[in-house]
Amino acid sequence: MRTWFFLLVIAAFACNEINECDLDPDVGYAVVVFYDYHSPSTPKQTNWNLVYNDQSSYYYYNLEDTSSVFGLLLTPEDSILTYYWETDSVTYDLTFKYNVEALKIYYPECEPTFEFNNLRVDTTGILFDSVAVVSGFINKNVPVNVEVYF
Amino acid sequence: MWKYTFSLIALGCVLTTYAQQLPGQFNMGSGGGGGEAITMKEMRALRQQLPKDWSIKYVKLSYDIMPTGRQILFPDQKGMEFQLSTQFYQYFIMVEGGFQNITRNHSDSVYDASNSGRYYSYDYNSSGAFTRIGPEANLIKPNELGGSFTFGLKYAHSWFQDKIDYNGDIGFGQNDYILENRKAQASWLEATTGLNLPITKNLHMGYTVRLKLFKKVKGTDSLQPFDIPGYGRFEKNVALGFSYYIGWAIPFNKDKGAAPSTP
Repeated sequence: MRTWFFLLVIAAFACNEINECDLDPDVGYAVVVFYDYHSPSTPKQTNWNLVYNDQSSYYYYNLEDTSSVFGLLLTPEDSILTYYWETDSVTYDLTFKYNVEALKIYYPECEPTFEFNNLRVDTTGILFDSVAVVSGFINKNVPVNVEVYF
Repeated sequence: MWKYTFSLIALGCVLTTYAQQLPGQFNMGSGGGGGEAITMKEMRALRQQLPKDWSIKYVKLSYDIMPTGRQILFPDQKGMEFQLSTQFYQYFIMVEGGFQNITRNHSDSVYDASNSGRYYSYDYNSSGAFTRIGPEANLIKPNELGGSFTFGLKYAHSWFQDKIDYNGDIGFGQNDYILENRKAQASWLEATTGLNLPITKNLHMGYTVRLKLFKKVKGTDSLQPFDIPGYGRFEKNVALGFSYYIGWAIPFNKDKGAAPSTP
């Protein structure tokens, strides 16, 4: 009997959950990677005056930042969001459409997260040379959502 | 780990009780008496000779102390659960019901890569009622001590509502997000096993272990539930449950048959 009870205690400890917030697969951003239109095999380092969207007063990148990969936050308030990439002469824009699935608590100790899905890009009138949606799923298992060539 | 502690203590108590009473019980149940050694074949043959009484001898009302225990340890997790059962020969019909009201809240500061801090907080509440119904079979023949070791299958249904008030900055300024599911429902199946013994003539104690399967949820929209009353965590497709019952059996006919054997 004692052995069984001891085993039960061990089993209970073994079943103890790991409350690690980083294990939550959902992320609140889409990953956009820039490529050189004439040499599309390698990501292109870009330098923008400003990167911002139409629903926030924040800007995300400025002149000091050089990057080929952008994690662009999505808002749960709406299912459409336009991002702008500003240079001295031209302002590029991309309009993202997506589904806001639900707000969820992954673990009580973690900050609640919104689930987004079905990401699309409105390519009407864009100034970039080409845009491709690689994956409409938005989670940590998807390394790239949108590829932009220019 | 706290949430398992109470379950383990309760489980330990009933196993200890069971170990003290078991030897005589099995012999009486098989008709052998006195502890004489007989083969399994002989025991089965003796069992076949026992008369089968399908009449209802009692109705038992039981109270599950686990929700009360949880409420003592975690005051934000309120709940109550009852079980109504009756026995037909070697089988039981169980109707269970209860309610649950769980509140969770948390607040913290989050630091991003640029080392700038931001603050968030949330309040979540899930409340509702649930019921379970289904048969159980006693693997021990009805016996004078009234012990039972059962396996069963139950259908469970939960009606609940939940709401979250989340305040945080996810890149669009500090905002309040208030979302709720007003009329959500969940259903699932439970495979159960339980052990039960009488403490006095009418007072019974025992436990039931539940394996909850095939969960289906409807009526939710922009908030993914966290707690489903009677089931547990929404995100789990398979969940375990543990109930520890204290029951009072009300006999229908005192002159006939053995004492109640209840899960």
